[in-house]
Amino acid sequence: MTAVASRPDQGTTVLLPTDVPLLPPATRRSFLRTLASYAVLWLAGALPVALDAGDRTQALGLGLALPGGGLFHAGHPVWGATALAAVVLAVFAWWAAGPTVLPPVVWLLTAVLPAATLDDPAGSAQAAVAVLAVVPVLTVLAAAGHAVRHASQRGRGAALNRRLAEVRFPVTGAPSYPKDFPVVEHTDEDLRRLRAALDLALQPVEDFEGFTHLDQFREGALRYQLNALGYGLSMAQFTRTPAFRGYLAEAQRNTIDKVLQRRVWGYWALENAWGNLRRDKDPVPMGGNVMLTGFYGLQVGMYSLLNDERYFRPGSLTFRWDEDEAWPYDLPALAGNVRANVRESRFGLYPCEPNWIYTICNTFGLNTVLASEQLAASGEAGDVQERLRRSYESEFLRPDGRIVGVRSSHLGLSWNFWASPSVQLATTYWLHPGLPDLAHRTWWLIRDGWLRVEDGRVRTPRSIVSRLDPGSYKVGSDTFTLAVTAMAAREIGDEETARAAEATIAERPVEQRYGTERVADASGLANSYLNLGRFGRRSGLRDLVAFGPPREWRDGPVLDEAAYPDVLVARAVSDGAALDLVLAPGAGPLRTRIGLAQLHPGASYDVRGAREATVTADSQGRAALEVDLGGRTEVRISPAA
Amino acid sequence: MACCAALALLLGLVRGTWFRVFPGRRPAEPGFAPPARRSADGTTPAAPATTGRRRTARPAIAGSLLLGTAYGAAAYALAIAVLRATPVVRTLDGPWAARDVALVVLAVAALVAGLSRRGPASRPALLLGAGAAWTELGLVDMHLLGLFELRVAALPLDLLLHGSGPLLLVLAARRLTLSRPTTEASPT
Repeated sequence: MTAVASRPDQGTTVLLPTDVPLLPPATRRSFLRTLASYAVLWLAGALPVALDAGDRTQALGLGLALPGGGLFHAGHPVWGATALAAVVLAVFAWWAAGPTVLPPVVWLLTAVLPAATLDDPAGSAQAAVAVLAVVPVLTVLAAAGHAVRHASQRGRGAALNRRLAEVRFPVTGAPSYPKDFPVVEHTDEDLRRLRAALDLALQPVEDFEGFTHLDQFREGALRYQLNALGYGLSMAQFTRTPAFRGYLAEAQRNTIDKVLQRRVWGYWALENAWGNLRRDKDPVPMGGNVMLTGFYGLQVGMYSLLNDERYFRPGSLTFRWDEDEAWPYDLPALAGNVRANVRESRFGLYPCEPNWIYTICNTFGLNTVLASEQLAASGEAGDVQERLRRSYESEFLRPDGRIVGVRSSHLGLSWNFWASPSVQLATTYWLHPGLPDLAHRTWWLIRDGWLRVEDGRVRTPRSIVSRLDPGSYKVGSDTFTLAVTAMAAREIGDEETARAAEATIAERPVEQRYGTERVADASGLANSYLNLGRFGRRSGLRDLVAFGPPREWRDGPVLDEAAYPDVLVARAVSDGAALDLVLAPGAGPLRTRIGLAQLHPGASYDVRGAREATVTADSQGRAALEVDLGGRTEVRISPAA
Repeated sequence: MACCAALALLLGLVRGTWFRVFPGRRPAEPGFAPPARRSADGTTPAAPATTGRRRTARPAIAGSLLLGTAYGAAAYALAIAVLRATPVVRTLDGPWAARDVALVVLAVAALVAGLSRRGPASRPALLLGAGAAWTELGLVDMHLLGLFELRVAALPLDLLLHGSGPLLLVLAARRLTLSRPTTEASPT
């Protein structure tokens, strides 16, 4: 585990906004548009009744005013309820996979079919009035309920603010080298976990053995597994081996290349067709898919910050559909797409699946912009940050500080389920690089009311949400929640909670094979996030994404070649001139060759821990050493005195 | 990244049902990847040679046919029961009780016989059994016993009802023609 950095804290007070309106501006616009659209449907139902337009026309109109309305009116309550359930199911499918056309089509069918096929579609006038009254009454009741809840949340928010006024959150500023860039050594357990990730990543690009294969739409999709795998590998490099490229960098590149496989991103063609009614297959579109561009952009950004800028070359990230159709992108283009989408969206945040805006996805978009900005400044990152801050603090925040996890951009609606603590946990972590004050406040709220640490163990509530593994859709274990808890706690600097979460996970069974290790009964996604938490440190993600690694690490000598799994690299760090390595054998004692790079061309170096005592760099700044690895071995390469 | 429990539960339910119907399609639990190897210069060493091959178990065709018949009969019975409750179908007088008993006996017998056969399920054979059962039962009910008739859009719905079975048969035939005996390298 990484030691907590001892950076001086910049204490900040972060209160909850006291002016969160009942319906924030963009939400209100969408909501009013929804009401206006429904009013048209309602009139289509009311007019035939008012004009006594004939039984079938009335059945059709009532079916438009309320799903199943024509059936209820004609005295078929069971079929009416079935029609209503069908529309609810269609909305559910719309939310799950984005087919925007499904709810209106199903609604229309439930109106048309009974009107066309019922033997006797007639009903009483009272029944017609009752059908017409259902949605308006429910809307008024829902609005009243929302108003009452909102007032209660404002009260809670005010009470919380009185306590928050006393809290100084230790928001970290720009790190200074070397004291704010600690590099620790992998433990044996760290190395076993890392090897499991490396084996997954190093298989041929077209192979996906060991991955979960479910759907490509939701959280079990391959892309999320690849993103998380890449994040974990990058974080391991940042906090343990910043001066090691070799197979660790290759593994990260493989996860990036795998995302470019059509089987990973091709879902968008379908979602765009049935969700936006567009035939364009380009997965980097305007108006959506931040679930790909944001997550992927951050993955590429973390690699680029730690290794090289190959993904800044035009076309280096080409999404190829077939021989004829391809869309060439690069990291700055992905970041540019996120910036443009944020500017264009009236919510500030913009959709993942067509229509559905998720707060968590947009944190990745912001992180993509920040990571790209370190290497290719657009000058627009600050504007994006401010737009998103306003949105997170108004459109997507309840007055009691809960982040609203999802909102329909078309309808303006959300639901409380998506303001659950699990959403807050993940958002804390991913929001920290760009909006650290909000991340700290969110974490404080989680620790205040939801997460308990007792006897060095984390106790999560026994709710379905906290016992769900989204990587496999299995319910029953809180391993994923604990993984995210460890990630967020460590990033925020709450090391006590991070260690408690890890101690709780350590009591779970593990599987070992070929020198690798993973937590059993947990998805690949959960295991990758466990790695991300394990290899993290206080402000690790923020330092990497928002500020970038120090110049000494990027330009100094690096270990560039090593055999895998023969040579496990437990620590590798450069101060810009010398290189310090800790190596361990991964497949038994051996004599092996390692390759160095980024040395001064033609310069001589003193070597300690290898068979050679000195080494001279070639004209490319490269050199090779032989090392006898019988156990943990320290190697130091420093400029000759 | 949190997720919706309700959606996960629904997905879990659908997957559970799917793998009960097609047990051979259940994917292996994900976990470890094959051990990777890289030489000191970053190249991938040649994979170790395999010393033998083993043939995968042959699918149980007869068992799958019987299971398909059971599933097809059950799906047909359910579909007709639902349709009869709608205004789309007009139920006529006829030997409904005898028909229901015969249908249950057929489905249960096919299910028991199918489950007693060992071996992985053959999807084409399942489709074949289901398609045949659906087609035959529909023809018997409507045109031999005259138990019900379609009230609206009789021709297209008739084609849809009876055409579903042959469609499954075509799919099964296509899959059968694409099937190849498979071999799999065994680890050394």
